[in-house]
Amino acid sequence: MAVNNMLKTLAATGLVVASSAYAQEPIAGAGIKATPMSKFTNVSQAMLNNATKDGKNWLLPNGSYDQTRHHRYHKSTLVTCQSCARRLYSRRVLLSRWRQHRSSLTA
Amino acid sequence: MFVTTSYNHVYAINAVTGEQYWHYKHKIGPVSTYCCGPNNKGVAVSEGKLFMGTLDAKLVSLDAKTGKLLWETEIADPELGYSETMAPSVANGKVLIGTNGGEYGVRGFVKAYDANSGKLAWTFHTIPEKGHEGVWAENDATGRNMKRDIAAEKAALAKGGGDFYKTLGGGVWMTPAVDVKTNTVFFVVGNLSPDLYGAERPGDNLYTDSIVAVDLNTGNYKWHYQYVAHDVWDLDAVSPPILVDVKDKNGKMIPGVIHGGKTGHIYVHDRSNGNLIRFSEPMVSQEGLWTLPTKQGARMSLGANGGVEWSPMAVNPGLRLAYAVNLEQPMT
Repeated sequence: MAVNNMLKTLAATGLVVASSAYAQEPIAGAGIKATPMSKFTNVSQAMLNNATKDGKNWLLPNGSYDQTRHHRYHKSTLVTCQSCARRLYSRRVLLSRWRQHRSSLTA
Repeated sequence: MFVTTSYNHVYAINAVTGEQYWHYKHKIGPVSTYCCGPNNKGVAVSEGKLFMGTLDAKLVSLDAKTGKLLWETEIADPELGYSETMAPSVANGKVLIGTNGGEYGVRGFVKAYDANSGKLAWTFHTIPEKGHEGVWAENDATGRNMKRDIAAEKAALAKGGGDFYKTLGGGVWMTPAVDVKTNTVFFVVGNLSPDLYGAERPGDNLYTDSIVAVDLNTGNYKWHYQYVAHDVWDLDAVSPPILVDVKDKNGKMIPGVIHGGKTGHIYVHDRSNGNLIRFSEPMVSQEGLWTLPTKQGARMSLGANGGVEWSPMAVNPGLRLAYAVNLEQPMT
C-alpha cells in the first residue's frame, strides 16, 4: 500500500514537473553548433528604403515600410506564360532529340 | 532567412538549402504575463543587426551573422502586464516597438531605440495624460450612433477624475508603417482595460481603437483618427496599416493610409492629416449595432475577433486591389 502511494506520489510529481517544463519553454537547438555563413549581405538603410522594389528579398516584417505585403518577383524567378512556354518548348526539343538518339542506338 | 518561434527563439537558416547557421534562445525572465499565447511575429534587420521583442518585455539586438547578443534593454516592467510579441521595425537608425498588455491594465506606447546602443530615443504614450476623454463622439467612424450615455460619462469623469489613464490599455500589437519621405510613423492602437466594461473609464478613451501618426525623429504627435470611441465590444484596431496612393474625394491621387478594422470595414485616410476619405462596404455581417452589453447577454454581430483581426491585409499596387481576411463571428 505504502509502495503504491509512493508510486502515485512519484507519478504525480513527474506529471507536475513535465507539465511545468512544457509550460515554460521547449528545449530547442540542443547539440546544434553554429555554422559560419559562407555569404552575408548587410541590409543597409538604402535597401530597406527600396524594399518595395526588391524582387529578391523580404526585408521588413510586412515586406516594406509601406506594408503592402506585395512581392515583386525577380525576373529570373518569375514564372510567366512566356517562360512556361519556353521551358515546355525546351523540354519537347530535348525529348525529341533523346528519342532520335535512342532510336539510332536500337536501329 | 531569419525565423522566430514561440518563446523567443531565433533561427538563421540558409533560405535555399534549409541549413541552420545559428540559433539564439532568449532567457525569459521568471515573471511573464502575455496575451495571446507565447507567439512572436518576427525580427527587424538592419546594418548587420537583428532586433526582437520578447515575452518578458525586453528588446534584444543580435549580430545577424553569428547570433551573438549585442545589447538588451527592458522596454517596460513585465510584472505590470507588459510583454512583446510584435515584430519591431527599424528605420533611420531607430528601432520602433509597441507593447502588448491592453488586457492587463497597462498604459500603451510606441518607443524608439537607438539601433546601435539600445538607448531609448523617445516614447509616445497611446493614452494621453490630458485629453483622453476626446470629443465625446456619439457616432462611430461610419456615422452610426453608439448609444452612449454621454451625460452619465461626463458626470463620472467629473466625480472620479481621469487618473485611470495610467491603466487604460491601448496596446500596439502590430508593426508600424513608416513613410521615410515625411519621417512619419503610422500605427494602430488596440483595446482598452477593462475592455468590455466602460463605467470605470468615461470618455472617448483616446487613442484606443485609433490609427495614429507620429514623427519618426521625435515621437511627437501628428494626427489620429478614432474608429470606435468608448469601446465596450473589444472592436479595436489591430491590423497593420498600409501606405498606398488613393483617390481623394475629388478623384485626385494622393498619398493615403488604409486600415482593415474588426468592424469589417476598410478605412481610407489622407496620409497627411488622417482625414477619413471613405470606407468600404462591410465585409462581414453587421447586426444589432451598437448593442450595449447586458446582464442577460445580448447578441451582436460584429464579434470581438473581427472582421479583420491580426491577419495583415495586402495590396497589389498594379491592380489597385486590397485583400483582407475576415472572420464572421457574432458574439453574445
